[in-house]
Amino acid sequence: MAAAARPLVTVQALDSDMATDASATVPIPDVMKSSIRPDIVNFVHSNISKNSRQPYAVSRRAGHQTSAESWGTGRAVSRIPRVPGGGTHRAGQGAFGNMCRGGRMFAPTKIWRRWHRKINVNQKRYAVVSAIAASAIPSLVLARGHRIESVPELPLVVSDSAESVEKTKEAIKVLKQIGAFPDAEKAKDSRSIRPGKGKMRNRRYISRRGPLIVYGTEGAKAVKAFRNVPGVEVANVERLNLLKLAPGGHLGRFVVWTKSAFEKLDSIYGSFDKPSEKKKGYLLPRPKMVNSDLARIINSDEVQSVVRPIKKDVKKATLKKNPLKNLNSMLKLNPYAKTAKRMALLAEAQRVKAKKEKLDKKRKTVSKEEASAIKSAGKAWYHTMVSDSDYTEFDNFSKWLGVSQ
Amino acid sequence: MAEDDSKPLNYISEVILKKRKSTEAWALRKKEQFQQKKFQSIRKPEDFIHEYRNKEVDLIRMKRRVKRKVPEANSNTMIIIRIQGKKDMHPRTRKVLYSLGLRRRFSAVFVKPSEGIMAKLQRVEPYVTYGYPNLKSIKELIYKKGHARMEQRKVPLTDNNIIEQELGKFGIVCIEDMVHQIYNAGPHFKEVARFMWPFELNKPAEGLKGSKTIFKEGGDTGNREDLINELINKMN
Repeated sequence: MAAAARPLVTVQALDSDMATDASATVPIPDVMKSSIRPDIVNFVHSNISKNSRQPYAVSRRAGHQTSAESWGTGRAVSRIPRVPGGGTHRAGQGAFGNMCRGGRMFAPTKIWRRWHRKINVNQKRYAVVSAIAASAIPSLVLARGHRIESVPELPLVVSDSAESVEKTKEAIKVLKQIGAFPDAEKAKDSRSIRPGKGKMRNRRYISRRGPLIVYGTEGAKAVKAFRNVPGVEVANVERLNLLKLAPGGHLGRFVVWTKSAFEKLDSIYGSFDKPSEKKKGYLLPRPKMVNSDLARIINSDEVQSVVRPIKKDVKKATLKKNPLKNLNSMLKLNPYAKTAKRMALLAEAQRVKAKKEKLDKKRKTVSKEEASAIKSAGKAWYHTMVSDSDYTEFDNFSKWLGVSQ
Repeated sequence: MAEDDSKPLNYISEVILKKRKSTEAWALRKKEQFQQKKFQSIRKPEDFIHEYRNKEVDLIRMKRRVKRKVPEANSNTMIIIRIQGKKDMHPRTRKVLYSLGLRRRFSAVFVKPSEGIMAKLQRVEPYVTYGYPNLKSIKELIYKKGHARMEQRKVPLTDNNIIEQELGKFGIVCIEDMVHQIYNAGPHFKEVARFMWPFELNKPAEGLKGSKTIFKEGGDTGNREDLINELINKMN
């Protein structure tokens, strides 16, 4: 059963209903799930509200009902047409011009203006459907300013006994039972005098809008019972008016549906795949994307199960280090480098040691006996030099030179 | 009253600050060069004429040079370094450089000097310099700048396994074997030389004047014999 797949709305019982064990429920029509287009609603509302205008303009003769003529030049006055005659201050006054008192206006308005607007049928239906869908969303209804804190459920559906209410007193009682009366009271309390010229144009008072009662049976008595409650408006489900569903072009009107009216929405507007029975060939508008939450779509199980898993083993190129400076890199390429390095170090140490020994040997201090021997040898040599100081004998000289002849 | 312990001041080490300073200076210089390069992208007709004349003159000189006697080499191994040549070369000259493996400036290859190689070197003499490397130069070049050519990819020589799986069938299993083959011009010199990607050396800070004259006559090009090792040390 198709209806069982859709969510259900509880039908609110009234005092006059017979008590039953289970609450009656109706499935939500598809029209309440269509897309909400504030731009279309605003545009259509603006154009529809122009279609009830009546033409108006200034009088054709205004400012021309005199035989004024200009005096011409030479009289030290401007050349504006002037009223003829004498005896009154009207005589000689300027006439006809828009700057003159009693003259006509500049470019007098005419009744042949473009008062009304043609709106595409599909656009109007789109707007009405959007307004109906918006009325089922509590946050939008609250944002519009309606008092729905004590309303049990939105969309609010009441039993058909509400349609047979005849007295306004009973109507108010019904509103109180379903929690809609605070909204009506707000509308009543908001009655005030209109700012601007509308006061003297038969539009003296303004007030807020309250609940909208939608009934499904033609000739229902509830129409007369509810229509005089301040703020409350009544509409037949087959003739829903956008100016009532979205007053001022703002979405989120608080709507009270009767059960029969609610059940008719499916046949009046159809669904996304089944055409409407009352509007020829009409299907509810569908959005381009059913779900525009892209992150949610990507992370859903259906998408993630077919996506290639994350490539975790990223292959990195080996970094080339300089083996001439980095010993580890050198050992990887040439294991003998360690041995060669060690041998070089040992050879260097050996060389340093040998040099040190050589230097130490040369710097050794001589013993006492050796020192005295060296000293006496030096002294003897000194005496030899002194005795041989004269050059009289050649033999001594030869002894020095060590020459053997 | 107990006083709070004073915390040591946060500091950044001097090395990091110095590095940061030089990085910023480098970035500014790079940006300035880029700005200048923008305005120099327009080439005038004189540039094209100059370029084409240079190519023609290069070809003529090569034809004259070829008539001379082919130079000889006095060593088993030789290294060739390309030191210049851009748009002033004739395409035929460039082709010879490519056949030697010198596709970019300051690239170097080891060759075994043969008559064919020497004839090629005679053709491209103004753009290359060559000489006889010693064991130290060969070893340092291969260890530091050595790259393998594997399936037309340039793979750094970081492991002996790379060498073994490519040259193992010739008995060459490690980098020391490669050095040995290059230095002594062994029986597998050709395989080892082809296995290595041409070395990409650094531009020497000083030592090259940009001249096309032969080294013996005070220029940069031609045979340097053993003095090539000094140049290799500067460019490694």
